[in-house]
Amino acid sequence: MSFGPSATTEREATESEVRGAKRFDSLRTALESFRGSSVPTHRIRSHGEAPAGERGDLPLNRPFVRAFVAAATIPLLFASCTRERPTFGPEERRKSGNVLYLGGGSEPESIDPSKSYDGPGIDIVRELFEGLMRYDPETLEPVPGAAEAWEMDEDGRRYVFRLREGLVWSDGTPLTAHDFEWSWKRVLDPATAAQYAALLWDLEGGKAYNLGRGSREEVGVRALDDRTLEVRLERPVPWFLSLLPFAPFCPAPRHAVEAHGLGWTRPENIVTNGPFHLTRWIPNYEIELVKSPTYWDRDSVRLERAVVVVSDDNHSMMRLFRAGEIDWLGSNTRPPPEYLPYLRTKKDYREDRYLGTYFYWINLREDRNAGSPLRDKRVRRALLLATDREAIVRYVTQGGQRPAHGMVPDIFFEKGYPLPTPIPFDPEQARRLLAEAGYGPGGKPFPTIEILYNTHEGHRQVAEAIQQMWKRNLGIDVAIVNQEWKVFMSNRLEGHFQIARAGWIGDFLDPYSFLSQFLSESEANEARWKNPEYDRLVALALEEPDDEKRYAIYAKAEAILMDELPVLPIYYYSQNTLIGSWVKGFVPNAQDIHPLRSLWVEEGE
Amino acid sequence: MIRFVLRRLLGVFPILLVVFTFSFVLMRVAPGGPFDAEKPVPPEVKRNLELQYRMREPWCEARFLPALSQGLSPAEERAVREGAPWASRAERICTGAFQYGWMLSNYLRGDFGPSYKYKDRSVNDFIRSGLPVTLQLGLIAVTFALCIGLFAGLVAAIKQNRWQDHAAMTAALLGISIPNFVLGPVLIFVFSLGLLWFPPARWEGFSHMILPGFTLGSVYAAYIARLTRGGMLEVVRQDYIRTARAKGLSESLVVLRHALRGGILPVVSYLGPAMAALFTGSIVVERIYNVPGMGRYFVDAAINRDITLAMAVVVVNAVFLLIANLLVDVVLGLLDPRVRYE
Repeated sequence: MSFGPSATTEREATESEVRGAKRFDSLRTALESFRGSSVPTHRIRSHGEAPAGERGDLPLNRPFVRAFVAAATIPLLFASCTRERPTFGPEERRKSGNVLYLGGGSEPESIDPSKSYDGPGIDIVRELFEGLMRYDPETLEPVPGAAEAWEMDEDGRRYVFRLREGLVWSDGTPLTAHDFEWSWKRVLDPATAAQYAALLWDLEGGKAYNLGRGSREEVGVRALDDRTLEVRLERPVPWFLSLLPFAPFCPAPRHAVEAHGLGWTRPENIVTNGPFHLTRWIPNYEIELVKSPTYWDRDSVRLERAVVVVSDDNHSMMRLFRAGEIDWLGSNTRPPPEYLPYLRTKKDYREDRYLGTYFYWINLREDRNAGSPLRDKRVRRALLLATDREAIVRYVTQGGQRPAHGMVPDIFFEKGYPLPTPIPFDPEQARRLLAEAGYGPGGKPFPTIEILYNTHEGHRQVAEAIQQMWKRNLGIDVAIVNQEWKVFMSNRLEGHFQIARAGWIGDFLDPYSFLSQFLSESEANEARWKNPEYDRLVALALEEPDDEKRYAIYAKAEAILMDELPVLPIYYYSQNTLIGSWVKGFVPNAQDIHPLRSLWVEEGE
Repeated sequence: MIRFVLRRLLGVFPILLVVFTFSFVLMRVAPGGPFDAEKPVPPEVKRNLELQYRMREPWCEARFLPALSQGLSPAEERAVREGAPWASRAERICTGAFQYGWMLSNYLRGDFGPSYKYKDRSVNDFIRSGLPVTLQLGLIAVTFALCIGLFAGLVAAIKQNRWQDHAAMTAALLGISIPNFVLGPVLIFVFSLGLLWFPPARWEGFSHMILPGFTLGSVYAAYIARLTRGGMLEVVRQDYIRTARAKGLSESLVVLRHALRGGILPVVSYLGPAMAALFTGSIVVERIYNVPGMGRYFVDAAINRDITLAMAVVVVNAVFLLIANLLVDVVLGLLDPRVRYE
């Protein structure tokens, strides 16, 4: 296996984890968005919609109940109806002090750099720990962090890093290359059970050690002296430096880990080396970060403190923002889709492109769905041609998404990635292809197919829209089925589905992050689509250090993918957030990574 | 009475064992595991995790399905399991038994074990930080419920069939029928975003506790009002009240000293289960108001298949329910001379 799982959808997962509260939401937001939303909601309803109970909705969530609640609250609304604000939150900052209040999303699973795996956890790790490199806040290119210089051998398989002089941990202990060596080996240690361990499999002997077949000594990372770290790789990895700011490559303080065990990340025990230090951590409530006095670049950190409000209830976060209790929604909290048309008129709303693709898997496994028409690639193409993705992003998702014509998101296009051949909305040709495959008028009847998605209002709306499009354009009956997240994932991974909703968020800025999941041997290849030519091209691309040339090879591979269509790409993700005008230094970027060290709050007087 | 309390306390343990076992089995048979994610970890890495968290037991694998110990891919593992369904089942039960034993021995030492989802924390951490908050919220809600409910119930009973009665009972009906996930946002909308009286969420001072306390308590206030009214109406027709009146006591003394004592008996017996329901009711309220309690884990932990955390919440809630019921029985005995401890 090549690179292990290289892309992430934590934010999807987080999103899905709030579905417990989600089902009550339409009612709640019906109330909340009342004040300003004169914008009609474009909801595509279908004829074949399942009764409320089967969809997992409460029967309460019916028009007459909504009408009743609305009627009951209208007098109250008039009472509180003031001048329409140009912003969703307050126009002036309500909080004071050099402290940033931001939303943190759901409770971090772990803030141990070696074990962290979820979006919220990784975001906190980035503030507390600094790897050899750190992110440039604008381009996300790696810039020197704990390392001040490095050399790469000709063949791209050996790096030597030179650490800055005088680096210390927050307790004053010197930070040396030995700490990095120990930490990286800790990630690979089977006893650590680190979920991101596969990112370090590219180290020489890394995979063997992680699988319990090799020894710790053979792993290709070694401190030559206190300030010099030598890294040897199994194969050249063109984006190796851009991995280094990432959590599993950050150092963990050996002395604290060994002294406190599991509890070492508690505020009273933790030892850090990043721009911030952890002073408070109340589960599912709050994480407080304070500027570290021992960080080497402390002079460029402008915030004194940051308070991360932890909540996976997006509506509750929206209310906190509206009341001015938080300055920024944070990158793990998204405004619920129902708000978007209203928010788009507000000055504190931001909408940017995001490194992710929303798509449907089509199950091609040998042992499932025998005889399914979906095995015919003409049918799959017909389905995609009959899907009006432009309408989906315009009327359903409404959050600045772009219709997808491939799996590699449009952010790469301006970096020199060749534009994919557009796949138009063409019901005419779709019907022709379907007829060619032997279905439709005069041919075989098309069996009912099933779209599986995890219980979530947004996914339901997209699925319903597609259900309707396929019915109208192709005359195909589609059943849509939703399942609770873990059940859904278990069915997807086991291959119990025909078509399943999915989202893929890139972990690093290389199309490999998106294309690697379709490799024949990849565990993430849920369609079990296999194409040797595709595998060959992707492997070939890895040998090519020049970005443009590499992208050209990737594009060829992607063309094969888009011809075979084991997936139906639907849209490229966007990132939507609310941020007060007084928060400065915020630059949108592809992965929605915003190191707090480059943000500050402007005190209005 | 002491013997009664002791006997009841002893009875708690078998009940807890049943609760523990039942919730363990439910968590184990639910499809999907704690480490399934959209971004799948390589099977070998997942295996390391599962070994660490006792989702796999090398001894059981070696005994029933030796092929598994090589770290197979999910597809290969499925093939092995499908090839030997009985051995596979035996292996699962064996692993489950080991895990059950491991957790039970942890519980006996007062340790709820490590959380499956939150890798830096033990379940004890969550309970320790969440339980006091949930209790505090529950206490505020009960206080609200009792103050409002008793007052409204008394007024309704005294002014039976007059407008005060109708008003109180209509309010109670509304209180019972409006669920807290509707009431919560409406209250926030009006009182924090509109009138700016209270903060919309968070848990920092008394002003933060009023809205969540009221939201959580409203349903119980409504029930209590109805129970008080019913209880009072029944009691005022009793002979001893007539006697009290005949003695020439003032009406307020009759009501507060004699009638109320009997009239609130149904309220007291209702409080036991209500306390426990407050606990579960806080699932929604804690989320809406971003209260760092432990009620939310009822749902979250189960959804995440965080076996240890989900079970701990259930067991703690069971303890709470048993104690609340015991307290209620004791108090009932003190209030009502007809009740005997046996």
